[in-house]
Amino acid sequence: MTRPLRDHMTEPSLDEARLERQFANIRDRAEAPRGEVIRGPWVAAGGLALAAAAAAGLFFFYAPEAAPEQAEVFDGAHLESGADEVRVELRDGTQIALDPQSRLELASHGTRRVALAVERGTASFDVPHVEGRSFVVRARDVEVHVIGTRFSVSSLGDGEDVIVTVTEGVVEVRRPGSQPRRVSAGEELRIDRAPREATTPDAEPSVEPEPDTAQEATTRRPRPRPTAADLWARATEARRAGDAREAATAYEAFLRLAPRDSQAALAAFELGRLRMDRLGDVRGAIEALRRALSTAPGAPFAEDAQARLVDAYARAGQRDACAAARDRYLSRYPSGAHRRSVEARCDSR
Amino acid sequence: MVNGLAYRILGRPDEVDDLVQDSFVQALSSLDRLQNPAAFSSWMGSIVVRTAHKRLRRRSLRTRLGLERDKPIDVEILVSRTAPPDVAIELRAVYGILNRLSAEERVALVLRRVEGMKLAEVAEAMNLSLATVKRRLAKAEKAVAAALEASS
Repeated sequence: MTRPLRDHMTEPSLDEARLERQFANIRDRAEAPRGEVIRGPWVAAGGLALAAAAAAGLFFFYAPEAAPEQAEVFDGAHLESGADEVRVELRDGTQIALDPQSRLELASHGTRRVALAVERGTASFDVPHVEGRSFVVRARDVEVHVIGTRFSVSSLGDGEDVIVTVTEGVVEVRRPGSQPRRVSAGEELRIDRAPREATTPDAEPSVEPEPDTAQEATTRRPRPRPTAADLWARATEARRAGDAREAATAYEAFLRLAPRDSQAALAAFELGRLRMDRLGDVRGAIEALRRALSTAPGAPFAEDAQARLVDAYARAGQRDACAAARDRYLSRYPSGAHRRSVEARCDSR
Repeated sequence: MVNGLAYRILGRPDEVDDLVQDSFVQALSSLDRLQNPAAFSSWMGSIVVRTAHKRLRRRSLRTRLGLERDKPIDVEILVSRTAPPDVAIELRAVYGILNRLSAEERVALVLRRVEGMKLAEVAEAMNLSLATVKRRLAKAEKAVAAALEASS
């Protein structure tokens, strides 16, 4: 059989720098429209279940395979997360991330007013500014009025504090009998749940008394509790700034927070690269690369990950594991870009 | 594999990076549709083919609208120095007429002649029916035959 014409053609010149550049561009572009959802179970609750809302297209979900559907949200729907974080986007562009084991009520959603209630756990919001529209998040008797910002509201349970953390912009926190309080970016307002009136005899006093006996305390929080998207953004930013340690820390946190995210394999691969190339942590690199490969064996970066794994085992002096990884690479990628370097690893074959 | 395929379909090294990146971004966004990781290579190949096809169609339209000039393919940089003379002639003929073909004819011709794929494989990679592929190839092969005739 004659060889195909391609065997008589030149190959594009592919040095490490070019591959690295290609990969960096792919990575940056893949990150840019980050739109995946970490799906969690929708739990029927109250008069209307969010599962039904979702089925009716009342929310739209970011998913790689489908364009978001336009949707209306009807009042009274509940959003509840199970073991995983849940992310949704409302029609006006508001993004909501619900931490695991949290519950949010969509009390009302109109063109003039959006009202949500954090019934349990923590919900983070990224709210676009809409002229003439009020956006209020309630946690028990605390109301957070938003202009256009990113923030989270935690309501950890009866008798516990309500915590408002602002990442960008300013919110105004109101509660009955108190002056409105502004909370700015980088600040966290913790509202003590100590009983204020005799009508709540069963309420426990605050477990952690606030400074100067105030029932509200604002603290500077340079790093508010991050979502998976925040961690990804932080890792990307640190990587671009050349801060390998910060990037690795952010990827590690990302993997802890969202181990089943569609970007988890890429995060593990990036972590492996950083540990190996920048942090001199070969054993850590092996762990991360193995994780990347087991999470997404068919990913576009799998060939690179497998080749790096061979290298990492060789550097760690683990000959048997190196040989096994090398053979796996050569069997899966007989014409692979790293074939020559992989063949030369693990001492003699 | 991806770089090589992109290079051979486009015939121009300067556009390879863009096509490779477009293809991988596309692949990453549809990775959850890959049922069988062992078939990754052919799955990725089909993404490169379809992305290239789209790119060529767009370029063709822009050229027709006068928004872009058709850059000639430098055949000599594509042909290996070790290629036998008859193969070199065939390669020159194929790449010499590529820019005159439609995007579909062009991709089909490269996959069939250059990559050595079977007709069914070409049809699958391009997401076209076998009959359509045959028609596109017939036209492309006619142009290649004319070029070969002219060079003899």
